[in-house]
Amino acid sequence: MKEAYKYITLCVAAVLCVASCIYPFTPEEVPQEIGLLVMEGEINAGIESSFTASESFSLLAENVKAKSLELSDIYVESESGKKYTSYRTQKTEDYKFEGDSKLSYIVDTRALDREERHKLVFSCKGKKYETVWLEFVETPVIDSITYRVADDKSKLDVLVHATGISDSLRYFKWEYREDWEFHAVYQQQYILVNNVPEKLPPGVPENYYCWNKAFSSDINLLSTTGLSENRVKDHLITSIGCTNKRLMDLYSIEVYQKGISEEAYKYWDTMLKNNEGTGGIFAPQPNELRGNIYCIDDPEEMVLGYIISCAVEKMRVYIKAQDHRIYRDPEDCTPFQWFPNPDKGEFEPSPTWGVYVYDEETGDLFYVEDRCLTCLRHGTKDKPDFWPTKHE
Amino acid sequence: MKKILSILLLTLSVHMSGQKISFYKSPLDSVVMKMEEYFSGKIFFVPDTASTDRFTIRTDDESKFVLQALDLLKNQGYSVTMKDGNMFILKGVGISTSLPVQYFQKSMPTVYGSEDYLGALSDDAKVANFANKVYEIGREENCKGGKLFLSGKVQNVSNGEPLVGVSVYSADGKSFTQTDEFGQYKLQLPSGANKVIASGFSLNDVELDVRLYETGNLDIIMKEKVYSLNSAVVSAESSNNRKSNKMGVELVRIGRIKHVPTVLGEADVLKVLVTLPGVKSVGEASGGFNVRGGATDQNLILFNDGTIYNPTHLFGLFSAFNPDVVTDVELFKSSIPAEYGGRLSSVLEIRGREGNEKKVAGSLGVGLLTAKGHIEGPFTKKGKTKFILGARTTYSDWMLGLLPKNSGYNQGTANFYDANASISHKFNNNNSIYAYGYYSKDKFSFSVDTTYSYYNINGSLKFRSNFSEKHSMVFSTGYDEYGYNVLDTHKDIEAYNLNFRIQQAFAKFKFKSVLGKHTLNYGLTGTYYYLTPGTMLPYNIPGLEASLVVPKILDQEMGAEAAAYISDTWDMTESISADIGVRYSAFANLRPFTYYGGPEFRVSAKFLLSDKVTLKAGYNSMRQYIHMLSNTTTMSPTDIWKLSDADIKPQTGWQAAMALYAMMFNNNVEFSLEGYYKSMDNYLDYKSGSVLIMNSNLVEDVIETRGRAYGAEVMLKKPLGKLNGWVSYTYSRTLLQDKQDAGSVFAVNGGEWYPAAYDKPHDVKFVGNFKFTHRYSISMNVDYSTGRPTTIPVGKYVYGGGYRLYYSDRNAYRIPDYFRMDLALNIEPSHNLKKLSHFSITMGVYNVTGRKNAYSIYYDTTSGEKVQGYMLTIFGAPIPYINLNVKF
Repeated sequence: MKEAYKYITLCVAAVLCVASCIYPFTPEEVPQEIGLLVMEGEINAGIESSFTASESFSLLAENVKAKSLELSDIYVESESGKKYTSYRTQKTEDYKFEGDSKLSYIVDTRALDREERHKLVFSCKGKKYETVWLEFVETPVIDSITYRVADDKSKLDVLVHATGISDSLRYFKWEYREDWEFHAVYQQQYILVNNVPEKLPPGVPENYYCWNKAFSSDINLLSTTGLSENRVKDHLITSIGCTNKRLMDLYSIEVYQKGISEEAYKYWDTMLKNNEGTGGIFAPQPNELRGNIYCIDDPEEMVLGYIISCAVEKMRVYIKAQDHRIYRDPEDCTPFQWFPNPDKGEFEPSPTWGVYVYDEETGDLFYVEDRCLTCLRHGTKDKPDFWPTKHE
Repeated sequence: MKKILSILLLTLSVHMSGQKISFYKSPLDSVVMKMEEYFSGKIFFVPDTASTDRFTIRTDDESKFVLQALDLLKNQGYSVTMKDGNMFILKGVGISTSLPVQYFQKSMPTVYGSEDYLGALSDDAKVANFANKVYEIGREENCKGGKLFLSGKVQNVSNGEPLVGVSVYSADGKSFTQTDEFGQYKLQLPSGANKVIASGFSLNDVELDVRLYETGNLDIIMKEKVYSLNSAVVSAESSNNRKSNKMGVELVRIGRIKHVPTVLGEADVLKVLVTLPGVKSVGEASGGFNVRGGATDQNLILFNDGTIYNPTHLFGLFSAFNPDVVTDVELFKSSIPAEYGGRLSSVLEIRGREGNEKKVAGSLGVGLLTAKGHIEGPFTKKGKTKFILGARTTYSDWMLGLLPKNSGYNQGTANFYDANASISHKFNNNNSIYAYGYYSKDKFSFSVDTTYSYYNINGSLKFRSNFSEKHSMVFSTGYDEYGYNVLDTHKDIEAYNLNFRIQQAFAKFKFKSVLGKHTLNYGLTGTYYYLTPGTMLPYNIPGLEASLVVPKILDQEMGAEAAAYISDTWDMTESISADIGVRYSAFANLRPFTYYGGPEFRVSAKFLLSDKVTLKAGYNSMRQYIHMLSNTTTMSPTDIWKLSDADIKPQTGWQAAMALYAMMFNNNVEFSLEGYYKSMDNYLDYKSGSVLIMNSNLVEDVIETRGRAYGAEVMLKKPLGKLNGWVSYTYSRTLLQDKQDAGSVFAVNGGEWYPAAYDKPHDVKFVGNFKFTHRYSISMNVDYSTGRPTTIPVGKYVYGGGYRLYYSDRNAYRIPDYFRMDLALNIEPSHNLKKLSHFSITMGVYNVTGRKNAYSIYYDTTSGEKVQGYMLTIFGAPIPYINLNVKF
């Protein structure tokens, strides 16, 4: 290679900024299709069934809430002609709805015949709707609910495990309700009375322990088709960050497991992808699937939602803070010492701040912000009936 | 046509300024360039970069410059010969202006005993590159008159590589041809004296006086224009559009490709296509491209005859071809020659280089993303057997970390590499054999538990033979493979390893016969397909529970495609000529046996309205038997390919087009206007909610659509001059319609026509280059287009405890318009050859204005709690780069 010559190409980036980024974006006015009927609920057996109707609303409108719709002539009908009618309505708190509550119609399906196919029939705004005939889908019991702490202790994953009943029932859906107890960062020990610290009576201060609750808002599905065993292992129900108040004291989760049909799985899977999986370079394009509810008076009308008929299996577990020890409080509650001479400009607490500690020997006062002494900013004093701990 | 010189005198131009001229230790080419300014004829010399000869000239009287320079040249052992008003400067022996002794002793004599460098190019054929030298082909006494053929090879002077797509034509414009993929041409000329011109973009025109007495051979060597080395002009041959019968053919040489500003300065043979009118892509990180409204799978991408199914690296940011081993790319977007088939909208031919036939040479390069190298050269001194080897790899992981978190890539890793090898052997002037090999592989992961990889393998063998002056043949055969793999380990019992693979073997016989006014191309091709559409196997993660995934192997697909074609290039009159071709393609899916077949017509005609104005019209019909199924906007590495079967019919389509070409402003500017209408049938789109991977019943998840596309492309091109480049405007539409569910509420967009994802009606493209001096030039790219269609929600609702989005019609909205401007400053190496190393520097900025162009816009509801719109931009800021090339 005597005659060989070589090129050396040196590519140097003077300033390299591959500035690919994601920006919040609001498209110009896009015509909105509002007022589409959204129907939600399931035909259960052994328990009551609950159905809720609402309307689709504008994507662009902020601070607009969903509107519960009034239904009439709502009933569940079996193929053999047996009718299960609605016998009461129920208002449930839900801040996503107007008036912070939604209206549900309860149908007494406690005696539903699991062997038969059923359909939901109802009327809304003068039009009659019904679902296709629905096969009842059995649900296996939940074997266990466990949790797993991430290696870096940044989060805790709640996992569900179940064993399928038969080989044909391979599609699952989960929902859950969470309740948790937590406390304020500090217990207030003193109170200033005429600028003199006065020790509070012993015992837990009123606003030290609080409770809160939440319902699942995600769509959680699994298919075990393709697996040699119809088994659910380590399926993630929810993931809780280490700074979440849920992990401060005691956390409880009740998981609802439902067996669903293949069509229902496909419908919700598409809904899930449309909502959380679009926009990436290789992301599938969003597309809308029709559900299984039709308007009899206008078969072309798009009705959102999918009604299933299934059994619900549930299980509740408690997770104690002392068992995982990953909680880190996100609030900055550093106590400040109050210097008696504020004129020197050293430090003057806001009048709203509370006394945390009073050092009786030196007479030093330590203050923390009010928010560090109360739990009411993150919850309420409404302790669930079933709650196992007592703090009085 | 350039100056016509007949004066045998050395004439000096008169300059009024009395300028001083000084050269200090300058190489020959610098001196010659200056001499040309004072000399009315042409000056020919041998550019030899290895020469260490240096010249120092200082004169206060520029009128004496040429004479001083000539003295100096003679003193340093150069001979200067004047002939027909032109000057020939050669080291050592001068040019002989009379024929060598025994010239007529052989019927096909070799000329040029004295010019060693020319002799090296071709040992057994006439080689020509000197204007105003008379080349006599055959013996005068044997001349029978009538039409005769002149054929030969057009080669690059610097390394002997064949030049493809060079126009070779008679000065009167009556005969025209272009060099084929081997650089071969065959021109029919009247016997006797002819002026033959060879011109290729960025090449110096060669004008030859040929006395044709018998059909014979004349090889032509051409050199690149000294000043245009730096130009960023991407363009087809300027004269091709006017003179060839075909429409919508774009040829881009690698020299141009390397000078187009790109992201991070990585030369890219595919991205350059998007700067051409009629070619679009959905976004900056998209692998595929769309030609005149065609889908990405409707482009046949051939690399040395092998079909490339996934031509990209790194999610589509880069193309999978090492620019060091590519000679040119040619895109057929309208008139597709009958020899090609199997895809609906275009054919892209990427031709690899054959290698330097004079000496072993190579390159090494280190870039921001890639390291690459190549070596090429002859095995023997005569250069009959040549090889070229190239390889490229990346270390691009660091770049992924810079990608936005939500893009899903910033935790990923990515690696790719590609390798090329080719060997060619020339038995004699009429018989050559070529062997090619190509391998490319990508491996990447978006997160720690899912790894994707894909690869292309191609190997081919080609034999070319000229049976006689009038008949030639090319036979090629080869094997292509494309496959991908997904390894998912996110959960022990669900871990799997998924594979997809296409294998194909092909054989092609191509014949060419020239019969009077007719040039016939005919042949046979056959392809055997073997698809492994999906193999999903359990993957056991060590230390964890064994995977429960049930092994699933989708049925293999086998198919055979065969085609026979014939086409005739017919010069009916001096001003009317036509290409008329028919191709019959047949396809059989072998499992279960299903047969499809049909004729395809390829017709195009040219009418010379005047010297400067050409009108063309054409009609093409195409059939496609292999389909890509995708539900993503861009071509993704997990897209499925599927053969036509009993349920999935072949795609068919036709395009009718008209074009007008005109030379304006003293032939400096070429104007072109092309319009087309295209119809497609049985193009497959995905059904809402479809799952395409590992789907054993795909027909349920796809819809057959019909499509139509139409558009007009206007372009003004100035290929030469200080300011060169072009500007184009395209108006085009591409619409699809769900024909399968027509009339049903399930039909996509209610069965109405809807825009395809790459329907971008308006686009304006500008590519320009301005030379300040011989060393400095700037290049600029401007690209504007309407935003692509996308599907965005038209409402929200509460469901399952969270907000959900409601989508309506597919592709009903558009992302914001796209605009980008790139600038590059090119500094060519100094002409001082005494320096040990030579630097050439390209500095550039991609997206100068820093416009945040949307790649996609989308909404996210993050667990149903909050609805937020987002815009993803890939390169949303000016991206500067410097490429420093060191040659030593």
